[in-house]
Amino acid sequence: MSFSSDSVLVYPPSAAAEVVERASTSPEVEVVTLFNELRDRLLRYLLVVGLSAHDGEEIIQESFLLLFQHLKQGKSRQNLRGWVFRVARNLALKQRLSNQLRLHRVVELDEVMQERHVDRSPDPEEQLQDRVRRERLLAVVRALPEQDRSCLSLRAEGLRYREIAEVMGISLGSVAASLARSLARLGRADGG
Amino acid sequence: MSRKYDHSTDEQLLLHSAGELPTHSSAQIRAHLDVCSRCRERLTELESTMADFVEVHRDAWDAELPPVTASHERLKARLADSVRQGPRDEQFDRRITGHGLWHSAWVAVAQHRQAAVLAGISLAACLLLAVRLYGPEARPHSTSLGRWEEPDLRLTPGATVPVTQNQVCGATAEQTVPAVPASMKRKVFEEYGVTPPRPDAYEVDYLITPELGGATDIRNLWPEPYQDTVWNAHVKDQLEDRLRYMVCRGDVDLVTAQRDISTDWIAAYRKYFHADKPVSGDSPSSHNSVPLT
Repeated sequence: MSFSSDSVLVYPPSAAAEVVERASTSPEVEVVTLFNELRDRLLRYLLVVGLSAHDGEEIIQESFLLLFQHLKQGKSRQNLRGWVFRVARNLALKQRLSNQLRLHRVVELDEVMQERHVDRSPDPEEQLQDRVRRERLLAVVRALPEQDRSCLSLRAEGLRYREIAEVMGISLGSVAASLARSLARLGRADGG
Repeated sequence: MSRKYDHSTDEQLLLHSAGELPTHSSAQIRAHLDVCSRCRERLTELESTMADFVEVHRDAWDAELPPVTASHERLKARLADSVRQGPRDEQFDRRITGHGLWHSAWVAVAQHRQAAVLAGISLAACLLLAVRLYGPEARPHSTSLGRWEEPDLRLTPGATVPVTQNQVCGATAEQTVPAVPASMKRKVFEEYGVTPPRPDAYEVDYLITPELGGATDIRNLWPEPYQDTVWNAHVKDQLEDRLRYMVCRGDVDLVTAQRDISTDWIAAYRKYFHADKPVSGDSPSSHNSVPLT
């Protein structure tokens, strides 16, 4: 059994590798390309931290406008994906400062799941078991501290650990510790 | 999983599997995994749990996502607008793109005069952005208590000039509260749809009082009712007095005071007076007789 990095869950590759190629295109094209790549991931993350889809969309728009200025000013192109996530997170935190975090979005997660759950199996018993299990995992996620929930969802959106560290403003070790805590809780809830 | 000193921790396993460890550390973990079935199993568990979570996470939120087409087109249009309008405020950009939204920019206020000018401008830009982002839906007016008892943040996000706490506290009220030019007052009334102007019913008030560094700028002014509402201009004056008092005592830093009063002055009143409704008393000393903590 191999335990090299090849055995890890495959996440989307880092945007950093695409930087050189992108640098030869116009900032507008570059920004739109990155937007197409990241929009859904950013929006899911912003939903997880408690924003509405509307507010999340607004923050994403603003984040990419800031990215456009960043690129036009000839600033660093390293890890633009992490850069955009960080900006979006900062804007989301600012909204929390102004309006208080609307945690009801997270609280509603179970309801969302109940309404949305896709019937993956024709067997009603399997459907029920699957749904119960998912709801159990979601309850664990909902109960996580904000930092742990953010780290977990950022990882689920394909960010590398060092990118998460950059977005969250914490160390690489703290990211690993956060994910280890969350995965341990999820594992226990899943009967591990 | 219980741990012995010679087993890899979950953190080490995760960092290793993600390729985030230095080469020599990763080689050590790999060598350990080759001989430790327990750690191999643990790594598999962690990876499996993560994969399960990714599936649940996406299922939970994907149907919440509006179609991308409209936001894609909107971004392209806004980029085109941005090209026409020229560069934005770099100080503002730095603040948003860094880790501290308020702290980092305002450290400069006390240290560098030139930076302070830019930071002052960036506060206004930041507040304008907040308005653009969150708009009236996120922060509706309390129409039941009276119109414009809080400003329309699209029109009045607040604006400041670069001042330090020492400057705020060293100045007299006469020095720090300039009169609003009549032309600017007319413009404020016009923007808020109060036509003809009603100076008898409304004070064209500073959102961030100049006593706390507020600017004489139309973005920092709105027609605040004198009477007929619970939260009127007189009540806001109490808050302004109290905030300046607290800033000068060192109980609240200037930036926090500016932010609180511009974000939601009524909420700020409740916070700093520890009261759900305006307290009685008209003099600054009576405003400050309420416990500060």
